[in-house]
Amino acid sequence: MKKRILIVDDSPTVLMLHKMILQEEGYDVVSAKNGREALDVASRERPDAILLDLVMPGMDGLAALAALRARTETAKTPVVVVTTRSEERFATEAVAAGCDAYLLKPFERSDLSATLGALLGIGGDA
Amino acid sequence: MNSREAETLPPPSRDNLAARLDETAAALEHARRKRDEVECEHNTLMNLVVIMRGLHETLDPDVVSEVVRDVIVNLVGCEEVAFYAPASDVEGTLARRWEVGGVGPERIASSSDLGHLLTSPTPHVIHRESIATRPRDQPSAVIPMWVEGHHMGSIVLFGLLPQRPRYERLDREIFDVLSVHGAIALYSAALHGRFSARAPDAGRP
Repeated sequence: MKKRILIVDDSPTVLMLHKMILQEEGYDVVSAKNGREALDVASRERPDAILLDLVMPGMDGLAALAALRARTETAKTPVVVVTTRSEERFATEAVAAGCDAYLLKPFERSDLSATLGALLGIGGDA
Repeated sequence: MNSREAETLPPPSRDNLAARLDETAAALEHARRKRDEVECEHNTLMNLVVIMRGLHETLDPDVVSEVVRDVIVNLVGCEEVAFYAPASDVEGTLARRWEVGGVGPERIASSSDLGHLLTSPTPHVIHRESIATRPRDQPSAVIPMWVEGHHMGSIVLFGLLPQRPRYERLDREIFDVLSVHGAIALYSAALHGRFSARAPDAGRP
């Protein structure tokens, strides 16, 4: 069965690109444009992993991450923070809030594949 | 044959085997490099397809501008960017239409050095190495957008994010696509706007 990934990003360009990459690698992909929408989609779709942008309008990535961790159904879902923010404080806060990996945008496709593969315990395609 | 068996062979055969091993290792390395090249090319094409879809799936000039901003920030990794278009009120100047990161002067004279770059027909990467060390007010790249002799505007990039020390090949490919397809998308949106204003119902399918 295909692994399902939830992509959360307010950038339509990033959503489209990451969706294409992950679908090509055999993942089932669902998406959300902000933190609030992410919580709804995560509850409904039960993703195997979540790619979460930090800076978003409305509920931002850190608030969404805290909310995801507070919910029983997503408390242990692997979350990869995907952001342009390279400042150490953002990474520290994200780790404290419970993220499993931190990827800086723009990144190589192979970095995304390797990170997800490691978190989901799969070597190649999903 | 395993390596221990190979060691018991008479010298000529061992030499042959060693040579074949070297050939195989070289072929493997060549295949790895080829695979990396193909993956890189594939990644580039995927980025360009996404950009073109974003630019051409709208006839709203504001949405085209949003796509351009989005691409520059998220795919190039630049959060200091401004967009200039020929000013309608003062001839010979370019006016800033939007910016990210509070950069760029409000107006640029077309006759200035920067003005020449902004109105030239092709993208320019001004700083090829160590972008972070350039003066903060100096652009690192310029992407003019022309279509059929019409200058639709120019994107001016200043600093890159700390994780991006310099422009790579993919960035230059993105600049070329934005230069050509961004111009076409802005031109189409402007035409559509004028056409819709004159005949509001005529454009509907």
